[in-house]
Amino acid sequence: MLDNIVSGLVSAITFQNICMVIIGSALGIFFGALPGFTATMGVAVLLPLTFGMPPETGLILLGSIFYGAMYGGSISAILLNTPGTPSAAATGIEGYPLTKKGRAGEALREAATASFLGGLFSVTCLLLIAPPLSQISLKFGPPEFFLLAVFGLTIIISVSGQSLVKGIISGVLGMIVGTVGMDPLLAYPRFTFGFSNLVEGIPLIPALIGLFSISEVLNLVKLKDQKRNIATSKKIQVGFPSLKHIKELIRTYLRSSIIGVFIGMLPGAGGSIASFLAYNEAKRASKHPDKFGTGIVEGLAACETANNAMAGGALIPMLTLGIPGDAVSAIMMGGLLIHGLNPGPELFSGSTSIVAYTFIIGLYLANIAFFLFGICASPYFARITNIPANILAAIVVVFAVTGSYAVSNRMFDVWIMLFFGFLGYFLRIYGFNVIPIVLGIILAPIAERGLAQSVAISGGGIMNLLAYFVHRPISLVLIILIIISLAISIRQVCREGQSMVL
Amino acid sequence: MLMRSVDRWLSVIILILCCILYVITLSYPNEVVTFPKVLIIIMAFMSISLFLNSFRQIEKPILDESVSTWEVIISIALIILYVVLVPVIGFFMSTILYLYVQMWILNRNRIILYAVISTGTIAFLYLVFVIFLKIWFPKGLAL
Repeated sequence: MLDNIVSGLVSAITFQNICMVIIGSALGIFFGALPGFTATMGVAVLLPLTFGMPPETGLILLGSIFYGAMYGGSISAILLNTPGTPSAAATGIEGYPLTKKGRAGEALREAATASFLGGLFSVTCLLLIAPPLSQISLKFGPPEFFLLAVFGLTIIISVSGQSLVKGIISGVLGMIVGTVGMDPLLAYPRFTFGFSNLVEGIPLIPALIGLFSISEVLNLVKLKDQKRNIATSKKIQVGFPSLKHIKELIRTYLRSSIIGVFIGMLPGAGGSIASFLAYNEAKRASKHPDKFGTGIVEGLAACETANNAMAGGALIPMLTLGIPGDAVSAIMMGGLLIHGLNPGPELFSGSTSIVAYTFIIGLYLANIAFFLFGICASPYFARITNIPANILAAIVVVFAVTGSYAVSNRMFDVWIMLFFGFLGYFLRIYGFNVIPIVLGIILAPIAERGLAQSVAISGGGIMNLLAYFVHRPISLVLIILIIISLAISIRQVCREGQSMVL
Repeated sequence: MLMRSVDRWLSVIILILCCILYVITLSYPNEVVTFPKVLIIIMAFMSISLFLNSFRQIEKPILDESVSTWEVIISIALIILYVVLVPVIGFFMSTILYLYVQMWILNRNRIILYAVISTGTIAFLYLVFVIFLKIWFPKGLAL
């Protein structure tokens, strides 16, 4: 493993990769800081730029955008009380009161430091956990892959939004879309409606670009430009944090990092849950919990550390098992597949291991890059929130069209992108969430193949199938995990008082 | 429009969609559509659940009055027109037209800035996709 890390380090610190880290982090902060634009959209729109790059360079660019955007969301949350990304929502609770007190520089410095430390912790976890976890997946057979896909689908409950029923409808709709094309056993084409381009299934990347960029652009067009005042940001001085300050908050950083990585590894839990949970824990552990909400650095540190720690955590199940932990890692999985790389044990052994380790080392560089940007240039990044929505919307549409065409050089993919973009927009209006659709599209083929092969091996019949599942130790563990995940999610939903008629 | 009446309409539309998809599956061999059939049945049950749920919902409007719906409709029409025009007048020509018109429709103040941005975006796309990534875009019927 040490050899692989050294090879990854040597391969990561090339001129081209370092340039991509710098560009990716800057673009990520740009996308993250823009209210209405998310890390997911940034990665989706810029994914096609990586097609012509070596796989490791492309992945480093995407990883840098991801980390940059996770940090960038905090800039507008602190200065404008408008979170750039949903996961930065908790940051504004402490960040904005600090700005009002005239301590914006301190808040921005804390956000950069906490994001940096959380990011470093999560990349280290990725480096240490991913390779052994990927070895376990070598023992996976059809039943395990089926159950893993089902486990991934339990995410739907936690990301359903206002209505569980609508969340399940979105997920099942995505799964039906995922069954378009040849069936896994007999290669019989289904639901192709005479389009030969659909025989291979719905093209994933155009569908993702549509769901995450066109639908968000239309949402942006719908909301009129809000007047934003960042006049104060001109005078902000950020500066480097002192060691004494880091020592004072070390427990908060560590606690929030662990929460972030753990939540990130759970499929679908997402950044906003991680940061709110870390914030609550920081409040509980604090000597002065009554001051939380009035602008306290400790609370800000907890949110931002967990937010960026979650980013690395979400990559662990994606790289090792092919099950994306959240929407961004689903798009990054698309980036892996387009370069002919399959997540799982093969990624960490043989000739592709250099790509995986270079990518992980590249993520360390990405953290350093956004930290330096944060310390030196965050007040300037805040000014981009003044860019009018009409200019951004038009440019993002052009990038979405260009990107989806560039996947296979065909206009058919552009129409697929538009179809999913409009579908995503209308579903959002009517209270549906698009993330379950994406999960359904990705996980349905894995689930169907696993189930069909399991039925064939077990000899058919529900009892035979159940016996086959229960007699395999990893399957049994996965069944228990699915039950626990369902129980936790349903409890969470019932607590929030969501509508549920089943 | 209120969310609960929309939910009722949506549930009916989803149920009709499920029926159509189920009928389509009947034309395929049974062994290749078992999985999709199960999914279609689950979705049909969920749509019925959505219908029943709508009677328990609190009255809530879907759209805020401050949002500009007509701008969304025009933007959707423009995007469709843009993609239709790509094979006809070429990618770069349709892109520059789309960029300019889309920005102008949403805010009619800075026409010179829009021209600069449209040209700059085209130059960037040409540099990255044509020169760097070697991707050839439709040139249109005239070329």
